[in-house]
Amino acid sequence: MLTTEARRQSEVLLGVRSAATGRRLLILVLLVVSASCVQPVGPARTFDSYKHKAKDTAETALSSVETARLGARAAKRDDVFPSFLSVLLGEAEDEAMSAQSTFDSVQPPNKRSDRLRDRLDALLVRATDALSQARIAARRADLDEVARQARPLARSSRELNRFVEAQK
Amino acid sequence: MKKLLGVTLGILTAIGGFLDIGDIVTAAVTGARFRMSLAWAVALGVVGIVIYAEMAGRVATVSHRPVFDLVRERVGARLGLANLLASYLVTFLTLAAEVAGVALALQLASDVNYLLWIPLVGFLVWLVIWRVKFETMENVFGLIGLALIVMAVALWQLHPDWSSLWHSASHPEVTSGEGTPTYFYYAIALFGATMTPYEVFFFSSGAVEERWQRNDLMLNRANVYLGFPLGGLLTLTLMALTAVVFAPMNITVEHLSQAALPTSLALGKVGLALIIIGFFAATFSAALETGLSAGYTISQYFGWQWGKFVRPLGAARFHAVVLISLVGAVLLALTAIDPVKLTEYTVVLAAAALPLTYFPILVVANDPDFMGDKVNSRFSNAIASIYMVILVVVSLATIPLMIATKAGA
Repeated sequence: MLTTEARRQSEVLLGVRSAATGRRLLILVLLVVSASCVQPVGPARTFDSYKHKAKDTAETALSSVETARLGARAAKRDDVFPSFLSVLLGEAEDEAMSAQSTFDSVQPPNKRSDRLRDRLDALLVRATDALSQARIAARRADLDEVARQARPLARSSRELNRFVEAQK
Repeated sequence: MKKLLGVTLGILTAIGGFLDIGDIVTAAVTGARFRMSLAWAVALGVVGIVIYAEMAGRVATVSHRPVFDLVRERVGARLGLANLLASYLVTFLTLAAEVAGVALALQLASDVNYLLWIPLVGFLVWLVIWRVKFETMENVFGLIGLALIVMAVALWQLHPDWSSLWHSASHPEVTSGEGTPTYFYYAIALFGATMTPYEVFFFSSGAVEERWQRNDLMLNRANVYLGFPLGGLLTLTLMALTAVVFAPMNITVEHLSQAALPTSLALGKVGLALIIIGFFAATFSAALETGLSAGYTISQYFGWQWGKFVRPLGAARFHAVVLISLVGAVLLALTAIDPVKLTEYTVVLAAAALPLTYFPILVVANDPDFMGDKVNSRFSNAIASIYMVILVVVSLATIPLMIATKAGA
């Protein structure tokens, strides 16, 4: 039979252990989250590795361009509110620009990679420009102008598609 | 009419639980990346949540004690505290994501940056929890959430190749270009999203809030059998929409706006308006559920008076926990942390803690001292035990898969 004092001590001890278990659990969760969330851009030491990153970047930009083309199609049919279209196109533009800036931060390992970088950069500039034009028009609630951007967006889509296929 | 409205607790729980901001985007992402080949994970989760939510509702109805009240008693103070910390952390992070999710839905309608909406959303969530009756809250948001049925109309209007969708769902395979670990990471994300612990905390506490009695056990079943499968069907519909519209164009889904686009393409402005209303109701419901669940878990663990069935003065500590959690969530959301990623991570982290939530329910539902003649049948126990094995496997696989796939990147 435990005395009242012994029970109190064991309860205090239990509380301390519980708190320590909780702290350990919290630290573990935070470590796991940070390990999973942090996705640094790894260096490209070979042309193949650099080419793989270029292909991923082009695919991300292509996804943004295709999203914007669907938005432009909806604008042409007057199926969307300008406020919604503005958000959709703004996010597509951000996604493409973020992919471009991440790719540009990777050091090309050799001259061949330099040429690949220049080629992709030209495509990305045209794509982000078309996305910016569409986003600007949507913010002005000019759905006709958004619909007109379908053509440059389609061109960017073809160019990026060709680039992705060439890297496979 | 009253009987019809009686199932709104299940609808509110399911819509807020299945279609919160992260689930909406996860369903949209998986549809675009894997078409319907992960539909099995949603179906598996729906059956699991139906079994355990029915049990949790029955336990709460018969014993008048909700889940977390029993967790501490059954697993002891130490494990109970670890469970409380894990559950509260997941619920709090989800609350922050939901507050941001509501703001994102408002941004879609207004084009005003979502960060500017966050303080107002936090205040509205608190006001509804503080002032609005539980019954009114569940009726209003449960019913508005039904606007998401517009997704089913949109899918039908797009005239998809149904046999191809069915083939993709019934012959699951890893899509070319995707890795097997990534496939299973998203399977766990979908499964974890359907069995999120806060759903049973909220549902069982709601049963006590509504003062269900033994003769309400049919109501419990109706809520579970109608509400949760409805949430699951809506998840599958969203997955099918992005599989039909985005997968052929290799579009990857990253934002809430993309999840609304297929409905807009199919049904025009009316469809778009309805889906934005549905997203608002679903994320607001999830914010209410997680806000209340934060208060429920802590109050029930420490044995404080809790709930909206007593005047706020009578449950001051419960309301204080809700308020502090909401203020913390608003501050976290205002750091501009990506709400979609935040919920995706919390859903997966919640999957790691699933057995801690569901095992005590299974134990109590078999205890004749609590349940009398309403203990589990052999059939229920057989299915629930199989699910317990699945939950343990999922909880062990979750974190290694999260690290190996860089959270599905």
